[in-house]
Amino acid sequence: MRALVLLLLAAGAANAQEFRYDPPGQLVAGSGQGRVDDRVYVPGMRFPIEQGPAFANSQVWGHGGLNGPGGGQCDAANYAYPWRDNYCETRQWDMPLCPAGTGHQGQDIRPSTCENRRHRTVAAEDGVISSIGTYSVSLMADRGTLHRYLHMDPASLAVREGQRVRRGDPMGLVSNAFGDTPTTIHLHYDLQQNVNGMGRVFVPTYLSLVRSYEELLGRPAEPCGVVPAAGGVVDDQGACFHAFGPPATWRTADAGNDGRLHWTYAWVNATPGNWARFDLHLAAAGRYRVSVNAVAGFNGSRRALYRLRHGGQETDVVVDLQAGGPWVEVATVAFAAGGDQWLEVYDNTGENRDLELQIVADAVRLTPDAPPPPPDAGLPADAGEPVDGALAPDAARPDAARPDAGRPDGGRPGGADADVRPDPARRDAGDPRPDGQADGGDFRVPAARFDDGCRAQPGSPGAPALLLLALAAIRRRR
Amino acid sequence: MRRVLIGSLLAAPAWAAPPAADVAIKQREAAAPVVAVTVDWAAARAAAAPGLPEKLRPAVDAIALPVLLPRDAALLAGARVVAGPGWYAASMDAGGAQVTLHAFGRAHLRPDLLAEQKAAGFGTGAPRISRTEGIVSLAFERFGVAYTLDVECQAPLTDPRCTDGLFIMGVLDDLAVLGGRP
Repeated sequence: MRALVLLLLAAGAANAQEFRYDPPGQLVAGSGQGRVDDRVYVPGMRFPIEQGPAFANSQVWGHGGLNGPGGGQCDAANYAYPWRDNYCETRQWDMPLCPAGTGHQGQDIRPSTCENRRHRTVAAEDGVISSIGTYSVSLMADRGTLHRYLHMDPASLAVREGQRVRRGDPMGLVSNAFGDTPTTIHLHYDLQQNVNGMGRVFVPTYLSLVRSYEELLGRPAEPCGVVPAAGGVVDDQGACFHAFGPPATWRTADAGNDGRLHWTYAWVNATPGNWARFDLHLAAAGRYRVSVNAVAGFNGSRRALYRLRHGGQETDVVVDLQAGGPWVEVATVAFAAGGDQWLEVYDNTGENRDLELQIVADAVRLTPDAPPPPPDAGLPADAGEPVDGALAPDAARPDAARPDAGRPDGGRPGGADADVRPDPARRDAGDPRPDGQADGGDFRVPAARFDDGCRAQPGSPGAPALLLLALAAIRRRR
Repeated sequence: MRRVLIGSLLAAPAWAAPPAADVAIKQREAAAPVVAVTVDWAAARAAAAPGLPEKLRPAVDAIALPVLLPRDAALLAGARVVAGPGWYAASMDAGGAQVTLHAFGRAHLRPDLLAEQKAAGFGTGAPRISRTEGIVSLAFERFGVAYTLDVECQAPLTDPRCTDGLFIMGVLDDLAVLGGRP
């Protein structure tokens, strides 16, 4: 009883401490060479233990561990900050991302107290329970990451194989289950991704856990910028813009919003070579019209490929950048308040590289689908000013700039809601393409889709058209 | 970039490396586009084999990937298949051990990691075996799809199936395309 009281006191003390963590790659001395990697591989994931405090550190090189300094696993030092990385800690056999080529696949995490079968784990992302073993549970997330939880008490599992779970759903209790030989009370947690060209690898877990733990503690990551409730523009010169792929094939020009833009050429390939992402962090939930600045002279592609993550789902859209402008609508969709939302644009449009059709990545504009009330009705406090310098409020811009103003939707070969493609995974439905190139008729930014019930379905092409008609009627009334 | 005060206010345990003081720890969000892999269906069809138990056929026939499974009838007898768009998993009882196969029909685009691996001289196509917490894992690619095999034992520290790689390599050799569709 006295020991339990001490443990709870220790946990309480840790809870009151400021969360601190050692840098990624800094392992316990003598436990191997860690990987120094500043990437958060799974941004937006939920910390896999329901409540804090929790303590990420080594089971093997900690108190009570096989190679530890002695003492028991319940030593207070195991239940104190700072956290310590133990991805790549010395193990045998292959781990290609570890400096030694071998190492520990994930991260050990102790719950708030040294009590067996007391602390609950939760699903880190939306997905499906893909397998349950003697002491393992695997969760295949909708976005392609395989999350693995080890050492939960088998009798406590709240999930079964094939069950769909939502982020934060209960999974089981942290325990010392390890087949017929108990281990210390901890959760081993790892992340697997199929990295294009490498195959399946265990990616570093540490900073994804740090980030998710900070959010659990009420310290969400500082957004790169916030789109006000009245809408705004996210520019490629701001912190919310990220360009990927070979830098040499991303060009810039002194044009467009804020006087500078990025562009690249469209080409035919199964996967993108260059792509860019605009992170979208919204002050208020709601439906917004998303448009991109298709700057004349840099808008040659008629099949620009966009993927929009909004409110926990992803929507793929093909856009004709020449269809009006300069602001061309991508989609009008519902967003949640907060982050983990973005717009990506890809260069593998299926248009021949020799045509030198340009894809521009300059700025994204969000406009509330239902405009805010007029000034005399009282504006929300954040309606007029952007929080971050990278964003500019947009509500006052004239409607004449809107891409759909006066433009017959039926004549567009691409763009906007009518081109929302619900299932790009169908690219695999045809014959194999031994040359590795996709044909010209498919949307080629493929990703598997999940039945979340929120996407346009192939059998309901009228829904976007009805939406456009409704919008047109509203405009006429105004 | 956020600044985190590093360094324990408590007495550092003897086993801990000396903490740095006031170190800036950078976090960089690294969400990557997820793409469907290009499946080599000609090769997959050429590797097709009979032997799929009828009770698995409905589930397997709905999977839009080459479905690799062991031909070993004992393993297949109790196989459980779970699938979603772009992936499937098969779990099989091996008597005191579980064999699990995951197939990844989607890939994360991480050209920076790929370049790093190539620069380091690591091969990217050969099967790789790792073992942590008693679970032996083997990653390999076929037909453009990434697969993993895991062997998890009731006695992870003493069962030879979980202490060396012979058993899992045997399972790998026994795999065949028993179903799936483009």
